[in-house]
Amino acid sequence: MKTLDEEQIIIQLQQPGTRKKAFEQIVSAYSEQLYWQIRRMVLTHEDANDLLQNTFIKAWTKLENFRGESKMSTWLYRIAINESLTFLSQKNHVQHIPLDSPDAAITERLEGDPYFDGNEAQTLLQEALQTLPDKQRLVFNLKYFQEMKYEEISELLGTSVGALKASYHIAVKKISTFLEGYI
Amino acid sequence: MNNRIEEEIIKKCGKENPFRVPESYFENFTQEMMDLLPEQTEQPLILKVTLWERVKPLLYLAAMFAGMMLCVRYLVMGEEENQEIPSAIFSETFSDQEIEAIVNYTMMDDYALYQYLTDAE
Repeated sequence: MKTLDEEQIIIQLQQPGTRKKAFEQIVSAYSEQLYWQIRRMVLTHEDANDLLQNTFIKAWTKLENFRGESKMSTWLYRIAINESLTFLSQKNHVQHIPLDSPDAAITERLEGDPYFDGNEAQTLLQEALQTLPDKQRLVFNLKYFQEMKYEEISELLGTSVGALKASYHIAVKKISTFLEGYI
Repeated sequence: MNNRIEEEIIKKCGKENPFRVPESYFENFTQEMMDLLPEQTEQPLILKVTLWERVKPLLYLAAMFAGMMLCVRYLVMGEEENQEIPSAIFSETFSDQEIEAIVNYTMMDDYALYQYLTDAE
C-alpha cells in the first residue's frame, strides 16, 4: 500500500486544477485494501468490483462531505462498508436461497467461482461466515482477517468497543460450533 | 476462552486469503476507475464545516474557563463560606427561647453570643 501525505492531498483536492490527480493517488493507494474488505463480504469478484467502483464514485461526488476529521482511509472504508451492507440487504430480499441446505448453495457458488481457490477448510469457514448476520460478519472479517484493533473498528462502525468485543465473541463461538460438525 | 476458540479456528482454517482476482486487476484498476468518474464543476472545493464543528473550540474554551473560575472561587472563598454555614444553620434552626437556654447553659454572655452569630473578630 502506498502512503499518502493526507494534508497535501486535501489541499490538492480543493483546487480544480489538481483535484483529479489527487483523487487518482487516493484510488491508487486504497483500492486494494478496500477491494478485499468488500470481497470478503460479497464473495464474488464481479460484485466486489462493482461495489469498489461505486465506493470511489460516491467519494468523488461527495468530496465536499470529507471534513478531514477522520483519516481519508476511514472515510473511504465507511463508504465501502455502507455500499456493501446496502447491497447485501437488497440481495437478501431478492435472492432465494434453498431453505433446506443454504450451506450447499454457498459451497456451490464458491466452487464455481474461478476466482476462489480455497481448500475444504477455507470453504467451510466461508460457509460458516455466511450464517452470521451481515454486521457480525463484517466485525469478524475486520478483526480476524484484517487484524484491526477494536478501537479502529469502533471508529469505522461507530459502535462501542464493548459491543464489538461481544459481537466478535459470539461470531467466534458460532463459527466454532459450525466447524465442529465438519472438521 | 475466546482466544482459545479463535486459535482453534486459525489452526483449522488459517487466515490466508482464498480469493483471487483477474490478472493485472489492481494494476489496471486506477486508470479504469479514473475514466469512470463523472466530470465535476471547475469550482474550488469548500469542505463543509458544520455549525457544531465551528463552535466546538469556543465551547471547549468556555468550559475550561468556567472550570478554572470554579476552582479559583473554591480555593479563595471556600474557607469563608464554610464558616458561614454553621451560624446560618444555627440562626434558622433554633428559636429565641432555645438560644436563651443554650446561652444560660454554656454561660455565654451577650457579647460572646453576638460574636459567634456574626462571626465578628
